[in-house]
Amino acid sequence: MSSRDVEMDDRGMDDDDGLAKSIHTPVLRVPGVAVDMAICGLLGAIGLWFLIGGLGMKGGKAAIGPGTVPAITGGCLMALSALQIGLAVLRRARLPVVEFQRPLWLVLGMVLIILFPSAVDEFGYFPVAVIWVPVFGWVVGIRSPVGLVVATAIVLALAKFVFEMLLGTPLP
Amino acid sequence: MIDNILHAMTLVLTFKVLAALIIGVLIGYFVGAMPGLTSSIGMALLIPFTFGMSPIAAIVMLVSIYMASDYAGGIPAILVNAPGQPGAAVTAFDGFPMSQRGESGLALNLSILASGVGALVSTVLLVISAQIMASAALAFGPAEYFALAIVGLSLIGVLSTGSTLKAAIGLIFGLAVVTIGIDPIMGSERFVFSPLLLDGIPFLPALIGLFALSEVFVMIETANVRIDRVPDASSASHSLRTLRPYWVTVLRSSLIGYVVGVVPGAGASIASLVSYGVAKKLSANGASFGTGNPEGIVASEAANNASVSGALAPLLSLGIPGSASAAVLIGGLTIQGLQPGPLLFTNHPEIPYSIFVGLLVGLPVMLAVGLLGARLWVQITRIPRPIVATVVASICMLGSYAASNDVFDMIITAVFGVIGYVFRRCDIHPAPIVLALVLGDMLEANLRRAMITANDNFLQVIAHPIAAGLLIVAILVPLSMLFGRKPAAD
Repeated sequence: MSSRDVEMDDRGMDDDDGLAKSIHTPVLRVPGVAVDMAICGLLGAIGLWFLIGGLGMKGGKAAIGPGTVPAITGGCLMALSALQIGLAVLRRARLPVVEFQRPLWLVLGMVLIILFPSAVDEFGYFPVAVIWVPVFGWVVGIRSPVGLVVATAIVLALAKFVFEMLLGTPLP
Repeated sequence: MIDNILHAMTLVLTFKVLAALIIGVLIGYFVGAMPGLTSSIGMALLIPFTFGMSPIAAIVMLVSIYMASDYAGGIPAILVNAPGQPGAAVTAFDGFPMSQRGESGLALNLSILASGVGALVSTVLLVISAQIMASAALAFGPAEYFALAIVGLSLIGVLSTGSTLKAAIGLIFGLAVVTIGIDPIMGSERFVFSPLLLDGIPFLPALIGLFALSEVFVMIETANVRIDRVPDASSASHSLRTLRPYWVTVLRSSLIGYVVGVVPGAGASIASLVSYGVAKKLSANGASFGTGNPEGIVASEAANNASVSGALAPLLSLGIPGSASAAVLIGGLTIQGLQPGPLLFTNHPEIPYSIFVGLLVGLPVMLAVGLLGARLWVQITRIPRPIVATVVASICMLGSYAASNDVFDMIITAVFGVIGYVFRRCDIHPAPIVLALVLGDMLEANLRRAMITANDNFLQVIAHPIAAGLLIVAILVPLSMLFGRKPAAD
């Protein structure tokens, strides 16, 4: 993939026929064929893992053992992923250009979500939530301090009153 | 049947269950009116809240969310051209032009009344057909259940919106994920690279990740989208007379919606599209469809809401979800220790009949909330999306933890949230994956049991007449669909 394949720009005001509008959104554009190849390539690799793992399982005397279904699904996943890649390369069935809006915030949001369970396990829910919720809110796009306080208050109230007190879920 | 309905009425018409129903309706309206939040997301988020509830209150609340969110999806579709639910996209074709002409009151009235009639007709059909289907399914053995799972999977793959090949990829990925953990017959470990995976990938956290958390990532992308102004809907007339010129369309669309809803994987979007297409073809004013024809709204909304009961029929009677939201409902049933399928009618008849009664009792509540609160519900579209995304993300994490008080479930939600988002961007929708997670166990366990019974002779397995018939359907229907026209995407 060359540097020309991935483009970033700053999109201006966009009216979509209705009344919904978006303002100044940075956009990462990736060719659909690259997205298809990356995702289906990964799925093909997962398929291969299931195929090999399934074939390696001992089945005893049964015709359909523990490894049969994983091997079949793995094989099918590989075949279908390869077919999709082939069709995308041959321009028979490829995605149009895939636009990732606010890409840096998106990646940051994913990182925060992935880190959240480990942080909760280490430090407990409430200490983590007091910091995590406003930070995540900022990443998502809340820019007013009132909005950040409101979102944090809603989450903490839900956790304390609904989950802990009403449902009896002991949070870590 | 009458005895069961009367008994269910005594169970549903209690303070706690009615309170759950009303809360479910209000949450359903909120979820339905908010673009980006769908009924499946709303239900997935609310399942953890039902842990401490009685099974009947929990299921009635979840079904009320399902039904009410489909009602409410049409409100922002008509007023601001932003469908609250995928199935309401067709409603916007004529609803928004009517709103622009200053007829938003009439459009809202028609949409809500047609939804109500669609829901009523389809609930009656559900009551009649579900028990019959369940009785027939009582004769099923492992071979028939294996064939039924194959039919469900083949139809889902073909009928899902978007690329058929990508739906199939999602489906196979879901089937592969289901095999992780202890195998259902011999107890062997499969792809267990952590002891935490011995029980397999937990369904509810995966569901919350695929549906709700992946939507949060979409919201991060669209954080800057805002609704500037909302047309005045205060002039909405509440008379049933406005629906009188369209009675035939309403009844026909309700029937279409129910039938399409029964087919696994079809769902509300296809029901409303098919119904709209038929109405356009048969209407004397077909040419004006898409420019603000009230009949278009009626056709879309009646079918859209009728598909909800349709999707519940195979779920309750056969254990096969008719839609993504119905698959989510399986999560709600299983955490209450209930297994959908024919035995539900035998072992816990109060559950399906309470759902039927809940749908009927909830109908006037939904109509009243919709007709009187249209202006309020459309204001929901103005709540800043980043605040919604932040709260939804936090509920996703809390809800997945509450499933078994285990931080590992939060990790599963986070991982499946990222997977769900990435797949969406590659045009692989989460619905086939979730339906495969539901049907995968049914398929493998029953195939292997059938093979053991048949002394490992597969021909003997498919020699069962019902199983053979179902497998023929599983082959012929997708083939006919592939060579015919595929319904348009959402």
